[in-house]
Amino acid sequence: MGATDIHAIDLALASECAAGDARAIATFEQRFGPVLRTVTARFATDPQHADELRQLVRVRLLTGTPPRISQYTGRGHFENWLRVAALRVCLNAQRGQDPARPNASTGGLADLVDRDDDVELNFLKAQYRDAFRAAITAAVRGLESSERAVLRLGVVHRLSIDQLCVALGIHRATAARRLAKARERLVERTLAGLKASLALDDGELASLQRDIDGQVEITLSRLLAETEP
Amino acid sequence: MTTCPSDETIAALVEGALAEDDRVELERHLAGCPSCAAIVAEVAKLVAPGDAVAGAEIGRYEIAEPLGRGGMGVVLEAFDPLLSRRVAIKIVRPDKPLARDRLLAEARALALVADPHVLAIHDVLDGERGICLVTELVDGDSADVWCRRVRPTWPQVRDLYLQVARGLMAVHARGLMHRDVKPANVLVGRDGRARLGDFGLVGDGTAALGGTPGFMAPEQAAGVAIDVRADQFGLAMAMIHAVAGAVVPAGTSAAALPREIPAGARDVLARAIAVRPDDRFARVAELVAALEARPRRRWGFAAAAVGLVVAALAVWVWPGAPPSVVPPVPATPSSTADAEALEKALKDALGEKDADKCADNLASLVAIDARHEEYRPFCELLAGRCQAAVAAMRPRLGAAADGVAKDFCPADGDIVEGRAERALTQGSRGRSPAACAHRATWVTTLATTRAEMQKYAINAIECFEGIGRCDAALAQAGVLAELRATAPELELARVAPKCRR
Repeated sequence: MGATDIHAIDLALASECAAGDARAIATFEQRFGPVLRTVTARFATDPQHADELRQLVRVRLLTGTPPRISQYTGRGHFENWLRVAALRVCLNAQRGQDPARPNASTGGLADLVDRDDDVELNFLKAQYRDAFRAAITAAVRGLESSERAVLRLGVVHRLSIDQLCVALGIHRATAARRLAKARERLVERTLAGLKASLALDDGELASLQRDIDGQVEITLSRLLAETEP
Repeated sequence: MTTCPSDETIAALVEGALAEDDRVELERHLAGCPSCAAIVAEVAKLVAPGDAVAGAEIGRYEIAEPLGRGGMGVVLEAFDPLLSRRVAIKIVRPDKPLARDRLLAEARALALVADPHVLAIHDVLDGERGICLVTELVDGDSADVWCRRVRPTWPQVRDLYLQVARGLMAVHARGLMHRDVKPANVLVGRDGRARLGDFGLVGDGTAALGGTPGFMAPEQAAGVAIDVRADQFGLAMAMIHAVAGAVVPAGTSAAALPREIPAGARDVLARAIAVRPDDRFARVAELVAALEARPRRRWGFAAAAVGLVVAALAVWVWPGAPPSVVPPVPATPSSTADAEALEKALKDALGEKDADKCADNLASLVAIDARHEEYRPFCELLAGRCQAAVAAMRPRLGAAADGVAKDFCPADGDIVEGRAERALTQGSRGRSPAACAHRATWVTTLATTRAEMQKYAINAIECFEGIGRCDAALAQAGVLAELRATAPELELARVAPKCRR
């Protein structure tokens, strides 16, 4: 059986489910229930919560006019489409329920570095703080979007190299290289910015580099994680 | 900011099915869109291989640690509590339905072929993680790693790949082809036995599936129909690679093959890597016969026997390998035929770690010809006299002798220096309930000082912690606490913070 045939069968099932066919929905449950369970398990705090989430995913996928499942057009594997759709429902639900989780910020990067919590900057002397914020913000802005993407996934979402290569659809070695490169460029540019604004000599810069190297993850998470808790 | 991509586009991204332009554009979007990035990150966490953690379970199997990974999935070491044995579990990414079909094909192929030189399949599971293939766990290396470590001579390479050839013949006898014969797909056990593994591309010769450049026959690379002679090409190229450290172009003449290979064998290999299948041997069996027909280098076996050391000491260090049946040995040898039987018996003794049998056969062999003394170090190793044996090997092996001592004699009584470190190095090779339990025994069997006892105890605690067996880790912490006159809970918290609660 070729890949196209698989998609055709899944597409037929999805259309029948969208039309409300009870037998098709039963088949859907039987074949793809485990996939939904795996997704919801990641977001659920207990079995009851997991059941509620699964029910919510079912409602979002199978009801409504038109139901969300009708958006599947048979272009890729149905299972993967289902994972993404279910994840979207779960992530939205989580954001809605969890008051500690801020809504998507509309502000720019500068807003984010200006938050009050300065714990992550304690390593720097007080006079370096503003310069450091400005330097890393400029450095992030100066990165290419592909570098920002890899940092966002690798640093903010803490994806492993294996997960990163899946997330970006690139080879494992490429993913590892790009993450390292982007991080290195960020540190380099931040340092260059600091050197310029603070007029540091090479010795001071070298000692600062070690501190910054250890600090990048924390500060960067803050910078890029607009919807992170 | 560009508009958010559809669910289907994100699914295509993780499947690796997006065109490069679309992929780059989506990447640009992810750089600025936290909510899409969150979805991509979560789906990657769901389907990426290698996130199976030690201590988790797949079916009845307890996962120990990852052994290797590739684009399609991951191979894990696991423990089967029902049969008390270590196994390997291969899992494909659940978002790759085609890879799943391929793994099922592999499982069916492996189940058909029962041969000592083909990786044995134990079980297939179809669960939430997708299809899992449970196979025997080979304590050892893949042939490419083995080559880098051992730097084998031609006789060693030939002996290794003649085993692989026998496995391949069993595959071909079932009407199947391997399609991806290369060093990375050959597993060399510490018992010296080679197994052909990774049957992911196995098939009957019609479907077009990719092999590995360099080891792939030209007709396979060209995508035309192939037959068993394509596997023969890969086999011969792997042998050349093992000696030369690199592949040669298809059709390389015998004269241009590496000098380390004897002239007769170069003729055989050159024929096997001919560009046209018709110019090769018709079957692998003929290649085997041609290689075996060549005169063996009678006295070059000392280095070759390092493989046997691997076998002998592997059984010693890793108890539990099955004994093999040994033919009776003639009592008073007087001819070449007798000497050959004796040599075989001696090699069997090495495999069975039978020091007495090794010594007996050696005495008889030396009585025929004093040159058989070359075997003595191997019998000595077996008898636990590691230092003496390695010293005797040194003229022949040079610096490699150190490696032999280091790798295979951790428990040896006559090298006291650094024994704890050597044993711990040996121990770091595997993590499973069985391996951890084995390490726990070193506290009493191997240690001679209190410091060493503590090291072994810590090693065992860390091992149990690593596989999530906190109860066993606590028991070992009790041993350590006794040595240090403290409390088990305190030692557990110090050594295994993950078990603190």
